[in-house]
Amino acid sequence: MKNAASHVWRVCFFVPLFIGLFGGLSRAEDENTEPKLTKKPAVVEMVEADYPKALFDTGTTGRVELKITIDENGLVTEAEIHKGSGFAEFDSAAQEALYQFKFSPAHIDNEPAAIQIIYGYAFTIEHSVDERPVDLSLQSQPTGRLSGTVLRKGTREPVVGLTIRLPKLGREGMTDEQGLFSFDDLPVGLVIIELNDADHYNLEDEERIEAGKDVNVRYYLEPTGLNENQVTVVGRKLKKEVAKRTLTVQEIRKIPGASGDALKVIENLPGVARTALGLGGLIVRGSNFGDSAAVVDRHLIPIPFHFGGIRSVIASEMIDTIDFYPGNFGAEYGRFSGGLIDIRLRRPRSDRFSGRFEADIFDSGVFLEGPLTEELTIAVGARRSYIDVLIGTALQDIDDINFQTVPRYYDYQLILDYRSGRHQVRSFLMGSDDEMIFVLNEPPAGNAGLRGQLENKVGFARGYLSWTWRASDQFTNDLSVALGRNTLVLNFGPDIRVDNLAWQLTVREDMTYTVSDALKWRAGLDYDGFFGTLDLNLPLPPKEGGGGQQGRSYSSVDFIEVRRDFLLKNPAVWTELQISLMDKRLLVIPGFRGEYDLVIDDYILDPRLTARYGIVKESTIIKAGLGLFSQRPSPDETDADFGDPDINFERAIHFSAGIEQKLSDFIEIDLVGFYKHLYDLIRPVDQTGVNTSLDSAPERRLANSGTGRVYGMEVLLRHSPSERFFGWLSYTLMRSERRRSDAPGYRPFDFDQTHVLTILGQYKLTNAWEFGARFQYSTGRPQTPFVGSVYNSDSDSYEGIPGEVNSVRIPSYHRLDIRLDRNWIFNTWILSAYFEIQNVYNRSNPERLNPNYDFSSASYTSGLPIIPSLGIRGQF
Amino acid sequence: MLSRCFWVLFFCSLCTACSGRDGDGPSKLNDLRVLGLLTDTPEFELVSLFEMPDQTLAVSVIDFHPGDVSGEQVDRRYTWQLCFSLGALAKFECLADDKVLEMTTDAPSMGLTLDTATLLGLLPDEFLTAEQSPVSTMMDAGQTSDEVCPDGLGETCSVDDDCQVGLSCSSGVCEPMPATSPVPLVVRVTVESSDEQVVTAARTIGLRFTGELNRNPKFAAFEIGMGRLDATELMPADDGCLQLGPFDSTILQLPIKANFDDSSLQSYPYVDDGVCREGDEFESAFVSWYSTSGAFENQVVTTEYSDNELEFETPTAETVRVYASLRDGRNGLAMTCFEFDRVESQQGAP
Repeated sequence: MKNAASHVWRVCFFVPLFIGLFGGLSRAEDENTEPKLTKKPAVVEMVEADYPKALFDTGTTGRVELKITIDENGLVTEAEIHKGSGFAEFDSAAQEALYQFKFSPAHIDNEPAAIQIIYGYAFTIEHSVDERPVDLSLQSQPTGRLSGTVLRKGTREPVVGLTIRLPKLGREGMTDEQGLFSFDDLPVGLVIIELNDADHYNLEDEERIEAGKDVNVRYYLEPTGLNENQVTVVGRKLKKEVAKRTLTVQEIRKIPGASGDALKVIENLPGVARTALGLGGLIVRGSNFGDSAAVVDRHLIPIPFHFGGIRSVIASEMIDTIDFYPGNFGAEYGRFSGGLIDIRLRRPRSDRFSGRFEADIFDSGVFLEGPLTEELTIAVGARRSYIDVLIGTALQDIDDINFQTVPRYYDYQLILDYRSGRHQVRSFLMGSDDEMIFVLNEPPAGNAGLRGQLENKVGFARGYLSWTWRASDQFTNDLSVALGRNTLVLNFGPDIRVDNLAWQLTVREDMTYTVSDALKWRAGLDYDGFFGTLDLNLPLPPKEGGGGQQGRSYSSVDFIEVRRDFLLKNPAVWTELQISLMDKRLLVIPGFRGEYDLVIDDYILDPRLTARYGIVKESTIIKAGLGLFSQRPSPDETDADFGDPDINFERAIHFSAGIEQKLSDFIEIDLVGFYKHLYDLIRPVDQTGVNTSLDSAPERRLANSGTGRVYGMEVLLRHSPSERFFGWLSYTLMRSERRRSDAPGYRPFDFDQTHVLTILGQYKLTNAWEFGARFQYSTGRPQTPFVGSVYNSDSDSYEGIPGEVNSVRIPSYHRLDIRLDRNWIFNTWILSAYFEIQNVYNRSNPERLNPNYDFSSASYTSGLPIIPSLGIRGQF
Repeated sequence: MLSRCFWVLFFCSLCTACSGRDGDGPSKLNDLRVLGLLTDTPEFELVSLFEMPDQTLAVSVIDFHPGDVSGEQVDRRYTWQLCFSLGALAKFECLADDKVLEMTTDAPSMGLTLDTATLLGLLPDEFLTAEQSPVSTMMDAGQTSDEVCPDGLGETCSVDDDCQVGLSCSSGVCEPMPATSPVPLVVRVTVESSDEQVVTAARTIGLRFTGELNRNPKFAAFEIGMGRLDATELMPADDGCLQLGPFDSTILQLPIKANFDDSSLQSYPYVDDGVCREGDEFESAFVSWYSTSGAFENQVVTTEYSDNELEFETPTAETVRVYASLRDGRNGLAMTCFEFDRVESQQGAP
């Protein structure tokens, strides 16, 4: 029956499913790299299944979906029925045949690797070639050849494993890894060609075959969706943390209000509270905004955003994955007690050069990537704002502010990636620069001394070099070093001066040893050196809670001048075990991190533990984590004049527990409860900030005297990108409080927000049009009211008398953003445009309680009004 | 670097720069206000206080109530407090609640006889016993030279004896004793009007150990419209307001400029980071303007940019009172006021 070929097999669809995508309790993960599918598997040897005779005789047809595992040699090692045909005979026949298939192996990070896919096998009854009526006249006529390439429209990527049918002739073929196909010995004349693929719109064409000639064709298949998420591996990395959220490129690109900016999307995830307009930073699970950090390929970047949040400092195209940890992150990271953003860069594409250009109302950016040699690839990107060019003239003289340099920023990146055998060497250069200069012609009310030129420059440059050596299947070593320069200039009038230059050197040595399927050992060394010049003339910056410093007139602040070099050295060591138990349903990760800080001459030992257990494998996971997290003081905090050399690490105990439930193929819910105990928080010795000593400098300015507690729950109900829709609901219920050691009770944290809700979604109306919307709501932030004031005759200003700290709240924040995307897919490039409206109903969101000149009344500073914007993007 | 404070600082700077612009600003007088606290001299010379006891400290408050212009009689009550304080740093709170000299007047001024006993009686008890206190500082000050920047300043040292008289060894460098008491006297006044408005104001009175005593600055003249008022025609604000005008109410922009008496703005030595420097009040001086009607182009002007303009929105007949205060940046203060009528017909111009 098999050879009679009275049926045809057909690849119905072909979906890579990475091992551990949903369950996270699987095998063979290498966590030292972010794996990326660089080549799909393709059938190189197919075996037709035996058509069950009884079914064939009755004309019964059927279709079986199998989940098959293809090893690194292209052999099928597992074939499970994913969706049966309803006939056991079909299922077993297909299963038996699939075990005999041979594929070209999938490549992950350009190396052969095991992969799991869904494979469709159809049993249909047609006239076989052998059974067709034989036209003897045709057999005697000359023949020709048809060959060609099938490429994806827009991106020109080869379409691999595509079935090409010549229905009139009963011939079928399949595209190879380069998208190539060919048919020999075709009869002369017109042939009809059908191209069928689940990810693309079907195509039917006809070609004229000529005798003795090779007719070469090229087809561009339009994808049913842009499916940008396919280029990003989202789940293969072992899920081991209690709450790690990973986003796909498609989600990042289309979320309203984020303007396609990868890092800004994080603001929409659970655990992240709103900061005030222009303040930037991330408030993660009730920690202060300086307590969370962003790392790029494991090395810290000083600031993740331009001008406190307008844009991230790194092009989204450079990014492979962004993992956001609101807490309980692994022992490999430290020095911060809040959350962590782990940005991993991707390897530039190695098959051909491609690029993109994009522009919107804020800035324009270009990006280009491709291979220089077989082993060496390159990617370059740059972006510059043009707020200064477009609206600079309009801003030149608004009321009392004269802009000399309207806010402008730029950033740049360069990746050189070399891979050969088991070695990978990557060089990465990035930099960012923000500048704004304006003159305050008239001082603000009640602050006669606050006038003059405000000059603000923030920039950094970083050079990274990393070497990854996969010595064996068991052992991988990563050595990386980053050296960079940070510049910070903030001059205001004759008094306020910050002019600092610092160099930062970070070195990491990380290794992974797979002892067995059930045990993996990871360890590393981590050094952070920071040296530069501290040149300041500033009042003590307000600490969280403000206290008595609030309401001071400019003339009454106590300026401190510091001019000295500083050197910080902070070596660390970390290790963790990954123990898989109970048939890999239970994963336990005990970890440990030790740090020593040479400036404060103290060390910390932070134990950490996380565990995940699959109640129902791949669909119901419970998880929990407990750990100690420490944060060293910043250089200004340990300065003898500006801070206090005797202060110590700030500490936090993180506890979280939760459950992940997969509700359907696309929908899952993640529920996490958390509690954080904060202690040894750095606080001013005197809450008023007043030096009551008679010396010029007090004995102590700061002390580790604050405590805090944060508790709440996070919900993420997420619909992963499907053919037409993606979206999520993110909700955080939280209480974050602080207490001074001498205070009777806790008070709300500056950015405490009881409810934070984000609902967003994007729907594909047609292949060209997409619509998205985002709604955000958050409880108003606490503020400290003023209960009176004293007129300061010395300076003609008013000294506000603050009331109970954070005892009132500004009204809640909410807004709606919408976005409409239009795609034009040409054969060799794609043009996209979007129209976005932020704050659709023009909500006047209060951002800050703003007292009048004598503190007798207050009004709210409002946030951004309705902002329509337009952006375009071209890529090839 | 400065990662935890920088954005807060930057944000606060912007917020401060852009705040307080809603509603009437401080230059518009429409409620009970205190515009300044005047003393004969901005500071006392401590040594002379020892040598010439029973000096009188006279303080007057320049306050304003809308009734002052409308003619409505509004009584005011003044509660005065004198104490040692850290000044504006501590929002003029007294160091000790039980070391406060209090009095109440119906007039906007008070006089107090100062002697050493009075001063010592205002010091908190712990300051009298502390090894390093204002008292010991005062005693030490008596042994210092009269120079703010004595010889030997900045020389290296290991103990106090390595330094010349009047200097002490601090962090290996000879530094002078402070020229003024780090804890000044503070005068607080709470003004309560009969229509139940309450305003509290305060100022510091420095106690100088060495160097020349600071003096209050002086206006030289005012240029108002096309006219000019010399200082001799002006009178201190606490003696009433000079009547000018009238002005045509159709004049909606009235140029006003204050000229300073340069001789009243002193230059003075001071020590900064172990180095003797020369300060100049001319650079730190500024003038604040207030009026009962219209709006000043600049609420504050400096010696460098001293031109100003009083702008009216409508040609309304009214009486306008204007105050100007001149501060030298070292607590020295001069105030004056004038009043004029805006009339509907062109009856005259300055």
